[in-house]
Amino acid sequence: MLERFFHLYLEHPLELTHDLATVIPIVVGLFYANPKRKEIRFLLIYFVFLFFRNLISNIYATYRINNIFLYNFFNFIEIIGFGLTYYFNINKSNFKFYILIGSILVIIINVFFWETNEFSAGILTLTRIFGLSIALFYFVELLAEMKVKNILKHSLFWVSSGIIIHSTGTILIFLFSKIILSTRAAPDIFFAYWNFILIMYIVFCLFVSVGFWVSKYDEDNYA
Amino acid sequence: MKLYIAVGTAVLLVMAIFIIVFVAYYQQKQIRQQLILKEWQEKYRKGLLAATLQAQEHERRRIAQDLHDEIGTMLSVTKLSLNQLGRTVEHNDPGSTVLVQKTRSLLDETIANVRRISRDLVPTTLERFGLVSALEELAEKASNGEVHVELSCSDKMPTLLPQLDLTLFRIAQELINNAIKHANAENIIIDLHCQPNGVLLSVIDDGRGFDLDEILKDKKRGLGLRNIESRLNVIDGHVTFDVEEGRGSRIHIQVKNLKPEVEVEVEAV
Ligand SMILES: Nc1ncnc2c1ncn2[C@@H]1O[C@H](COP(=O)(O)OP(=O)(O)O)[C@@H](O)[C@H]1O
Ligand SMILES: [Mg+2]
Repeated sequence: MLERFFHLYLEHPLELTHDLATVIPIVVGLFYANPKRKEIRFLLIYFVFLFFRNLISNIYATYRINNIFLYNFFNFIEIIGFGLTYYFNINKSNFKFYILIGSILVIIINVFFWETNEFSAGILTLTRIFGLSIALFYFVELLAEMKVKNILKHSLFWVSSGIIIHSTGTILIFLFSKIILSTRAAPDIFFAYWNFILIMYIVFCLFVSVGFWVSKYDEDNYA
Repeated sequence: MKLYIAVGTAVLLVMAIFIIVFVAYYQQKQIRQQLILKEWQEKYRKGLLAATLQAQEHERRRIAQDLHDEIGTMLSVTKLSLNQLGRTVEHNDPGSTVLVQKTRSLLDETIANVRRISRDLVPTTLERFGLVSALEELAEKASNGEVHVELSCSDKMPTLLPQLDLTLFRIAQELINNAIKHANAENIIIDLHCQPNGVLLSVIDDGRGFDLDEILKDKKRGLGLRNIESRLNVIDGHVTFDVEEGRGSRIHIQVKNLKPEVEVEVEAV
């Protein structure tokens, strides 16, 4: 089994890079981040979940069991993780309220889009829109309230940038996943877009790692 | 179709990066502007404070002058008339002589008081002979049977800017007043020391001490101590309260003898 496992990685080196990239924010978050900050804790838990999702999906893949439902399911964790992170870091009470209502609404709608054997375009796209919206809300608040002195040393700026890049990079691919990511799609097309999704995820991991890294400045950085 | 998705994604990504860069750039710019504004406000506040203090000194000087020139003169004239009256009374009504004498001594006391008050209002010694002499005089005046005030200072005091002189003198006045009024001290030491490009003034008493935080918590109390801080604010000085309940207080004032930002002319008389 292990042999098959490694074979899989050798066949898809980007998959290996992607799984390793998930470890970076966990390591940085555990050893170099400021553990007192709530956003760090929620995101860290999110990445631990992500790590296990990758592990399980790889094991499934080794046994040639369909693992796509894991990807669909993980979007629920993503909504909760991002929602909590931003809920506790936004001051404007109406933004807080939108995030709360938005998370609940998106989760409920996503339930109706559930699919087990195919990527669910509805779930994946809605989750991207949700992430994009809260990250943009946060940017608006950053500009309106001028609450940090140096934005480059503000962890949630990096996290939000990561979410925005990841979401905009993958949203169209997921929206048309019926065409390009379905089991009926041509393998070269599938892998081209799938690899792009992996790259976007690696970029996201790197941005969050930077965010975790600068979290030690956060306490002195509030204006 | 597949190409459209790729192109669309590329466009979205470019937009995303543009937004991120814009937010980072714009935010930094905003913060810079805010800093400039804060600096400007601080400067303005200092200028206002300096003007207020200067106006206070002007007013004191005016009152002192009026007291001395008008009330003092009137009193002298009154004394002259009283003397004349006294001579007339001695001839006609020897019984009232005692009353005249009593009035005269009261008048003498009033004249002395007016003179003292007008002298205290304006630190003449400070202006004529400098800070060390003024502090010496202060120590001498404050000393009596119960308290002993002593001045110790380094031999070579640099000449200070007039504004520094006045500030240090007023602060020393307040601190000594406090030590006498509140501390129940027996010994008070005024220590004046020059430092590289600055001066250190310490007032040390052996009284009962106080809890600074508690006094500053109450907005109505501690006006004298707050005044010290605002005076120092104008000349970029610094005060350290080494105080505690149950032991003598040590209060240190540090000022730089450099040309300050805010100019306040103090006219010599
Ligand atoms: N040297 C001192 N020793 C003991 N208590 C002091 C001393 N200086 C100040 N205090 C306390 O701090 C309080 C505030 O002092 P201050 O600001 O000068 O106001 P004021 O002299 O008008 O009462 C005083 O009421 C007194 O209780
Ligand atoms: Mg006082």
